[in-house]
Amino acid sequence: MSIGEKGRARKIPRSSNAMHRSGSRMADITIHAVLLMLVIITVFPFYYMLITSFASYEDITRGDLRLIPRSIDFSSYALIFSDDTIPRAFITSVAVTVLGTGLAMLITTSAAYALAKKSLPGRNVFFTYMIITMFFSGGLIPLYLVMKDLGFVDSYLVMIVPLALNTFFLILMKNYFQTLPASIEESAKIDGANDIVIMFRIVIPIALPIMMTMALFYAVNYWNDWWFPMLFLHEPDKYPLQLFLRKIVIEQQMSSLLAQHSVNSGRYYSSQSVQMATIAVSTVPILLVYPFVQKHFAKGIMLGAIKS
Amino acid sequence: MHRVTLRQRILQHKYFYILLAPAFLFYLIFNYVPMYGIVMSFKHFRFNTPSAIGDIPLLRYIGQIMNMEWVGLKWFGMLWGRPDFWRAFNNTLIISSLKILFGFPAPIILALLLNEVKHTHLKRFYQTVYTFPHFLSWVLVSGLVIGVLSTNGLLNQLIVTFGGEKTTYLIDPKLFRGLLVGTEIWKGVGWGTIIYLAAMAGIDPQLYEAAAIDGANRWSCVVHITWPGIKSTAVILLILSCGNVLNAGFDQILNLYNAAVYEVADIIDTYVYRMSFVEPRNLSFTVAVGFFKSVINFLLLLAADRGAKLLGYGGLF
Repeated sequence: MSIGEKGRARKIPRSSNAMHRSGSRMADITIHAVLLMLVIITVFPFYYMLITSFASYEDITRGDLRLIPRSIDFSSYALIFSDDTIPRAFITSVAVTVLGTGLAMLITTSAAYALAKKSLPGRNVFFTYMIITMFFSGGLIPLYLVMKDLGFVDSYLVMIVPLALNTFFLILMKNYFQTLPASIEESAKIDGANDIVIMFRIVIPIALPIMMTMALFYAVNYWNDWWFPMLFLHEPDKYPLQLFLRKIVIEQQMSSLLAQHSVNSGRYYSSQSVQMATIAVSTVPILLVYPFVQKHFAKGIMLGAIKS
Repeated sequence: MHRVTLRQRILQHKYFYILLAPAFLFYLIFNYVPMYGIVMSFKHFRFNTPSAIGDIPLLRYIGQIMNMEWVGLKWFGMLWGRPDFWRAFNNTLIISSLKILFGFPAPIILALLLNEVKHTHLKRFYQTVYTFPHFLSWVLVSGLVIGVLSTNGLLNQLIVTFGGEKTTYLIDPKLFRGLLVGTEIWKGVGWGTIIYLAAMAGIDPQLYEAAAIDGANRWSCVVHITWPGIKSTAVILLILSCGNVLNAGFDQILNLYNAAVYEVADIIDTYVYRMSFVEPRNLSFTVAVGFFKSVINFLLLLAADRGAKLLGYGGLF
């Protein structure tokens, strides 16, 4: 570029920049207006959930618009914590999430570390073996019958084992391990440590941030699972929270619960308010881990974009 | 000579095979053993069939299937003649197509809007809010949808307040597919933007600087710089969703639908579920339905993969 051109280039934008800026401001306002509206649309159902869960029976039966809370009434929450059904479901979900995530991380990390070794004989065979499962499946009933045959009916294992490996997460993790330089393992190898020890002592500490992300993804999967529990658990005592939520909100199986409590306490409860309180209670744990997930998930997706 | 070296290499890597073993067993038990069960779609399923090869778990499952009676293509003939199956098949295609038509552009548009936000904290705030619903289960989201749209829900309260009549949104066949598309976008659009924003972050900022010097306005920057930067990502995702057209959203529909909207909302997966557990037929029939779906799905994915290669984007896997 010659000096003359540079000078001209600098001159022209000045006038067009002014135009640009005023048009730009209008565009900015429009963009922020749209984005803010979307924020409201996203947040509003949660706000409505909270308002309804804290509304009194009288406010709800009056049936008019509840956008601003008239009263803060804890009776729906008191109800769902008054017997041990929902607290037990909550504890089941927490336990399943913790144990399941631990197991899933063990299986996934081990497999990913092995598959990241390009020198491993049979590596491509395993890849094919793994990828086929992404393309083709036996369908619902064969899987159901296999799990039944394994004794998963009314077993806590049904909430833990079938979710313990996710091929997508496995590939993400393998891709990450491949980015680590081989030199970090060599000194340990000279000291005579075997590959499993090297993985736990050297590789995992380095990979800890990405492993935290993976663990959070798995934890969300475990926390949200209702499908296998619904198929296999027949004893309500073993229900995780999500299945309970489904029974209460979707299958509307709460009238007996409410009737019993109304008789016991001599007061009325709104099923709507109790449903929303249950939803709120199930949202809280996700809300608590969300900031951590949010911090890392973009990185996870980026790794996924690197093709194997 | 070569044999020995291979054996040596395998021995050298013995610990890695130990590490790989749990994943190997997982796929075997939860994917490959069930695949054998497809044989049931050519047999007559009976509960409590005695096993042909012993009573050890998994072997028992295989042995029972071995002992079931062959019936040839009976169940596929039945499937072919059942209008409720074809209704589910059509619904699957229609719902998926609607979801692609509206749900595919949504995250692109949102990502383009977010890309115009220069204030970093504000941008992160928007993203944090939009992405949140992705992490909730469909059970929970359906609970919220019912809360907002049911007869006594928020929308009806609003309508009554302004002097209108209550409407039954959740059982109206005319509105239900729209509801599926809308709630899918509500839950997933923020998550969907991540991959596009990542692609946008990879665009060379000098391109924008050069365009500003040339006096290009924002719109032409979007059209000539940002869009070309994310186009290949968009095409791959579009092809991928076309390959997945038979998966129309089982979790979502199972938690939102009801008998009043079966005619527009029953998809293959919900049909299989209902025919197996709610109004049970012979399980061989539902295995046949599942197999039929798997085969078509597999062909579609292969076609999608081939399509991506033909367009010069490399294979999908």
